[in-house]
Amino acid sequence: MSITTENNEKMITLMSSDGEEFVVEEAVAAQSQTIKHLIEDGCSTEGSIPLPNVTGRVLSEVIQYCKKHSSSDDKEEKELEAWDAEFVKAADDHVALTDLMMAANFLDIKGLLDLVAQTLANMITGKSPEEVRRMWNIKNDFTPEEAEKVRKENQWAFE
Amino acid sequence: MRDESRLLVDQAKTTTNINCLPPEIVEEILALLPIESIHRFRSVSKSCSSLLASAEFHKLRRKSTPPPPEMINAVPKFLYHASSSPSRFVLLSYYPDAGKEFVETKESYPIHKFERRNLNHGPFVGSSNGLVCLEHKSVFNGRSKPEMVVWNPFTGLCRKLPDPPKSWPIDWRYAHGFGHDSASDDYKVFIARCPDFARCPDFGDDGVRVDIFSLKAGSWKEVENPARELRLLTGAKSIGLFLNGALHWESIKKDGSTKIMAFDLAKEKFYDVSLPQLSNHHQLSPLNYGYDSMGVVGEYLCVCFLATDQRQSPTNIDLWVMKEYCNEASWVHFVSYSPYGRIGDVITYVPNSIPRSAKDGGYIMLQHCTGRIDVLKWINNNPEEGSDEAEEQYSNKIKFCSRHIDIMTAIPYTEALTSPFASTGIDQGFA
Repeated sequence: MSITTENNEKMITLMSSDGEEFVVEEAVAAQSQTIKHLIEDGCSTEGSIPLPNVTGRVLSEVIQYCKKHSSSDDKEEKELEAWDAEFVKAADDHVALTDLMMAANFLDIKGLLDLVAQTLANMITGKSPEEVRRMWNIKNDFTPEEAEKVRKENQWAFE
Repeated sequence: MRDESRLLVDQAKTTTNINCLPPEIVEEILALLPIESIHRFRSVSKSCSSLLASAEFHKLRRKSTPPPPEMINAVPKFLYHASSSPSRFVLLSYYPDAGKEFVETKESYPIHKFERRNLNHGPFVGSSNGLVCLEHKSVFNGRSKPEMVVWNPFTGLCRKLPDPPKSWPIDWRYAHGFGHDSASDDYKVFIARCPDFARCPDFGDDGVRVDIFSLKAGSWKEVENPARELRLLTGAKSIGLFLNGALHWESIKKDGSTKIMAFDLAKEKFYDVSLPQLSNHHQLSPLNYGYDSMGVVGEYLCVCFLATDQRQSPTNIDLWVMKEYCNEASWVHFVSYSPYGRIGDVITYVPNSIPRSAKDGGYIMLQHCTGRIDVLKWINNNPEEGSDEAEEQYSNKIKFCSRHIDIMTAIPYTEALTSPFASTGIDQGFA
């Protein structure tokens, strides 16, 4: 359902996969290309927009990000960068970041996608292959001989 | 969606939900990693290994960190190794109109871990399709030993090769080379070792040994019946010139005359290429100076001669090109060139031109032993003409420019995404 506030802002209701509802300004929701297209196609007039792939916990974070980014203009770039840094820091671990990444991907929010991708990349940069395997539960399918061969060929990166 | 990009997806069903991330997103995260991490993570799994070495992945990676436009658009076809401290690699982009002649290579190279081997040719073994083969002395636990790598300066991928099967006495001569075998779409490293002819002329043929490393096979193989002339390579010329699927070196025949010895990388066989018949006023410059004098101009093999006057004083440098490969009669005089300064200081490096097509003309670069580079611009209106008239045309339109830089050695180089790993057996078939 769409509501209009006193200062004439159109409001949109978003519903998470676990049934939580969020009422946000259209301009905030439209940071997501996916939602923007749904609104353009008239899907929002029927009631709330269901987002079956995003839980309430993640959605509230995404909305935080969108609010900040729809209210800031270019002049505040420095401040926005600092805010982004704090925002991903709060996401805490790679599991939360991965959730956020998936939501950003589904909702098609480029800025958030880039931000989280860079954060995840920074997080794994210094890790050992073993740590990366554990982090994302990847099976080491090399035979010991193959592993040794790959290690030798790439040796300088290990030293 | 490429199969190999399912690296994190198939195998990660249980813990985190990274398995729900589309592979292209996972690739995007990995594309943001520095090159050291990319090398390290090739050990994570087979599919990871294959993805991180693929040309597609590095295309994406270059998109995230784009190279300066002059690196793409200019004609930077020489990779220089500057031996000054700290030792570094520089791409020479001779492009006078763009105002930028030199671009430092941006990708990190583990050069700090290596000591340049003290060779006339610096670390270069050869270059082909964006891949550069290098030899260094690697210092480990206070001891140093030679080590070979194949490096793509554009993507930053660097593959360390296993040691050659046999070690040689340190004072033996050697010849190197690197090139593409188009028959099997493979890249091969050539090393020959032989006793110094001057020191031990009676040493038998057994002393010559040639080994080939195939990037595809990932291993070394000894070549049967190596050419005995390897013992007779002139001067310090150890780096084979790659052209037409073969490596070329200048060599001396038994009668003392000079010829070109070639090695076909596909057939793995040696053969000879004749030099032009010259008057007494010409001498093959390496006989005087002991440096390279062969190169590629257009698609043609080019040899550099020193022309002398009646009193045997050097007057200028003549470049000759072989218009039809392996046809002795097709050698034509291409251009004469008089460098500034003492002619005796000139030419430690060979003519090589860009673009490789002779149709539109191009640049020829020659390096002096003082570090000076001369750039000749030639405009070719009639590439098929080998007549005197065409020669005159070339000469008239050559523009000349010099530039000093503290470089030692250079190699012709083309940017490409070719992977030093892509075709190793280990990387194939793990979708």
